[in-house]
Amino acid sequence: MKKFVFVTLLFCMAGSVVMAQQVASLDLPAEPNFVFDDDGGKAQIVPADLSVTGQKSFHGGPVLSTARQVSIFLGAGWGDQQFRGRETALVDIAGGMPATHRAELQQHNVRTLKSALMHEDFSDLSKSTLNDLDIQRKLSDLLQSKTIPAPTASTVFVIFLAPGTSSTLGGHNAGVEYAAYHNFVNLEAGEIHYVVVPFHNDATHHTAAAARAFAETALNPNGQGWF
Amino acid sequence: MRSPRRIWLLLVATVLTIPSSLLAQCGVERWSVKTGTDADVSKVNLNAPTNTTITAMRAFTAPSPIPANNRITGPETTLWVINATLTLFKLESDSDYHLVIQDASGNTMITEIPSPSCVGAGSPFLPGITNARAEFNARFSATTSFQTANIPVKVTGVGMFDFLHGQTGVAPNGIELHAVLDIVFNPGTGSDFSVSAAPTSLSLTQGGTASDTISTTGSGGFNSSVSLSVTGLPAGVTASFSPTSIAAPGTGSSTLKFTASSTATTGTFNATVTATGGGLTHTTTVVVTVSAATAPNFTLAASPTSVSIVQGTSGSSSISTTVSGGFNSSVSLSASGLPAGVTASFSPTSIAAPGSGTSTLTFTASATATTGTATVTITATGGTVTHTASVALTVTATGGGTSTQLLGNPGFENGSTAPSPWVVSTGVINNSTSEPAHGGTWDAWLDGFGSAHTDTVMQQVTIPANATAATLTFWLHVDTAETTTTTAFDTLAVQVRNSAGTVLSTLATFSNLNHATGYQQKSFNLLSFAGQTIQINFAGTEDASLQTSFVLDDFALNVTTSTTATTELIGNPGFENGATTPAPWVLTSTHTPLSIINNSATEPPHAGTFDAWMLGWGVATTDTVMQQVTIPATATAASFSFWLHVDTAETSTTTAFDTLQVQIRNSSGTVLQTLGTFSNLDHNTGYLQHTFNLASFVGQTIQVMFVGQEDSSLKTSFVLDDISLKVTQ
Repeated sequence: MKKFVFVTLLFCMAGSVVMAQQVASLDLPAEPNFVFDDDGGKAQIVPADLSVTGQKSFHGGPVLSTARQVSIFLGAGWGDQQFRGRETALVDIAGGMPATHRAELQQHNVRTLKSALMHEDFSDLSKSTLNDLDIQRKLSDLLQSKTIPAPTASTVFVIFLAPGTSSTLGGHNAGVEYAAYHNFVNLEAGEIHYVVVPFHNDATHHTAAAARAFAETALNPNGQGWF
Repeated sequence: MRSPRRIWLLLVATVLTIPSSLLAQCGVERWSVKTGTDADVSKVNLNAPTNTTITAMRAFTAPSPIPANNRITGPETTLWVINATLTLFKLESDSDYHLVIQDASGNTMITEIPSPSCVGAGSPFLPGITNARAEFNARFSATTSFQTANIPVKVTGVGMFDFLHGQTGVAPNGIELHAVLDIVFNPGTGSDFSVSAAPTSLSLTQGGTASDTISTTGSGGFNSSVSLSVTGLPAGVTASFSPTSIAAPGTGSSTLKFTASSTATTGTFNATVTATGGGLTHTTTVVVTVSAATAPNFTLAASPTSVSIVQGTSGSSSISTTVSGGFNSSVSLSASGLPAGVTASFSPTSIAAPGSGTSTLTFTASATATTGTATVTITATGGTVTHTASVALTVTATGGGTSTQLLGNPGFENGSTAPSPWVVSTGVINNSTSEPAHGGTWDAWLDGFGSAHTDTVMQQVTIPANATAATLTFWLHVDTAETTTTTAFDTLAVQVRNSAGTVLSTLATFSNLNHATGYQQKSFNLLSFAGQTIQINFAGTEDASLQTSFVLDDFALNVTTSTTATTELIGNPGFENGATTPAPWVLTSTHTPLSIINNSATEPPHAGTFDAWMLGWGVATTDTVMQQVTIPATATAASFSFWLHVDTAETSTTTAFDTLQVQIRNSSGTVLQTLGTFSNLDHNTGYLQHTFNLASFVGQTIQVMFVGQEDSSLKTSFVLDDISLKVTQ
């Protein structure tokens, strides 16, 4: 019993230190629903609680005039037959997008194009948690090997992480602090826009998070215009 | 004493509270530029630190686009020194220390110290990054949360434009010092010294030596001797200073001599020169490349390696030599194996010392030069080294004919986007300096988009039926952004098509793997299309990423037509009279009844209805097919050809069990020459044409004889059709 109390106390102390660092005013951008990513830039997240919309207004930054979803299903867990059926609903999230997102896109003259090829990578990723640098490195590898098509100005790579594969972004945790996020990276192929959607047991929640992150990518591709 | 279990629990609890991001992770975006492993790192002068300010750095114009693996000359190739105030710092998930510095006016910019574990071993920045990281760790403990500092610093680092991404403290133009190589806290105005090397990189051969000059410069009243040492040398390389230290007051130079043994480790290494004096230590880096010792030698090459000329004309090939390993001698050139009536000359006659250069080899054929193809051996000798190369020289008969260039608008010089008689895809005709023409102003630039794309260039011509030579030449330049040395991602097919667009032959396929500086001339023999209307078609196909440009210019399709008569000597050449004994052919067989002439669909003919199906029984059999002809003494050429199809039930890939000999006999049946022997090993789908020169039998009565022999098991069929012996008089 004494041991249990001691260990519990240690965890509580350690946890309080981590929390104190994470709430430091400089550790979060001023814009709602933004966090700092793994190399210090800002990235827009979809909160884990989808009912939290935050206050958003358009500040005049660039938008994607057209957006085409290119899906990447990443991780061995997608090979499980009980989850593969969900891929069908996810490969065309623009098609089933809620009216609110469609209206936002329409307001800013953003057209969504027919979703492009789907890529499945069920290989063993050798780790169960992928941070944003892992995602960028994976995109770089897939583009260099020409496994996925070279991006155009319309391309939004949407990476669906498999069950059993979790995600972090700048030290923030999927499922706790965010349900999805979008970011961009400049590689030899050019500027790459991408969305990361961790798995969620609730298919409706899963699809809704992806749709919101996809819409925010089109409206706010470089994180400068919409917050 | 504390309980071991409690200590263990404490350790577990501590480990569990370490954020996963603290585990080693390295960045991705422009990471090679950030850490000094990019393609342009050799342009960074690490030995000339330049003082600047945050205001001056923020005034640079940000490039657009920012190159992924290259540097912007100036801002990104200079080692900058900035005095400012360190305001904020943080450990990022990519293992960088993110430092925000600020000037007195409140202008900020980012400086970053990567983790040495994320820096390639070959980076010249690595010693400095390691140094700066240690200097920072000695003063602060960076965590994943921002901490404030407000301390004066002198930061030394290489400039780098980052992509604007809302980073804390980022300059408006994205300029950073990335990587930081040195950081001094609370820098004073006291005495100091600097150290530099010239040159900053040098080459060393196994068994050789190389020298560098190390200079030190004191400032601010510095007055001390400076001792010198070097680390980071590969096995087998030693270094010495002369003098070993710079005498007080500390300004001077020393010669650093590297000596490599004959077994020194080869490769590129960063030698760190450490200068210590007056209680201060500074370092500079010399990049040393050790290469294997090589014997003096040269290479010899000919381009093109095949030359076709018509009697009474000349043709040339470019002979080039390239020296290596310190070779230094003139190289003499000679040619042997020339056909009768052909001379060869070199201009210049030899390559001057040290032995690298080019000479034009010109073949000149007399009007009576021996026709046919000969292998000419080019011999190059310099010092004690001799090399040879081969050029296939084909001499064709003039027949008193004339030579004509068939292609219209061969260099696209009418400048039209629809340069008739060419038919081209949109945007191909070009006069930009990005891809300059081989000659004149215009060229055809296929592909080069870096996305999935196909360009075509086509012209239709008719090669006269009486052509005795038809050679297509053009100049091709290939450049590419592909980096593979093994995979042809983007291709250019050179095709001959009929007038309906059906591909008759693909002459060659070039790709990104053929990229080269400048143009190369390509040459193809199109005589086999004499009498046909054909389309010369170029199809460039590019995949979805990384451009490859195929640039074409200065085409020629030179055709020589004969005014002399050509006569077919073989009677009943395709056995089309359908007779079992098809005179003037004489057929024999050990199989009875005689059954060689065939019109069954099992072995269909090459053309017409009938063929000669020899063997194919699967039992021991000998078949012969023979015709006797006389080649006139006045013949200037005699070409014997036939179409042959071989199929077999044999499975061996090494043993010729069943054979077909093609013989020339005299009228008594004595074998004068065996032109060729085919076997079950030559089996293939469809027919192949085989051609032999019988000019050496001019004036003789000969028998052309096919002798087929089959062993006792597993059948092989030799099917002959359309046999021809054409003579020119």
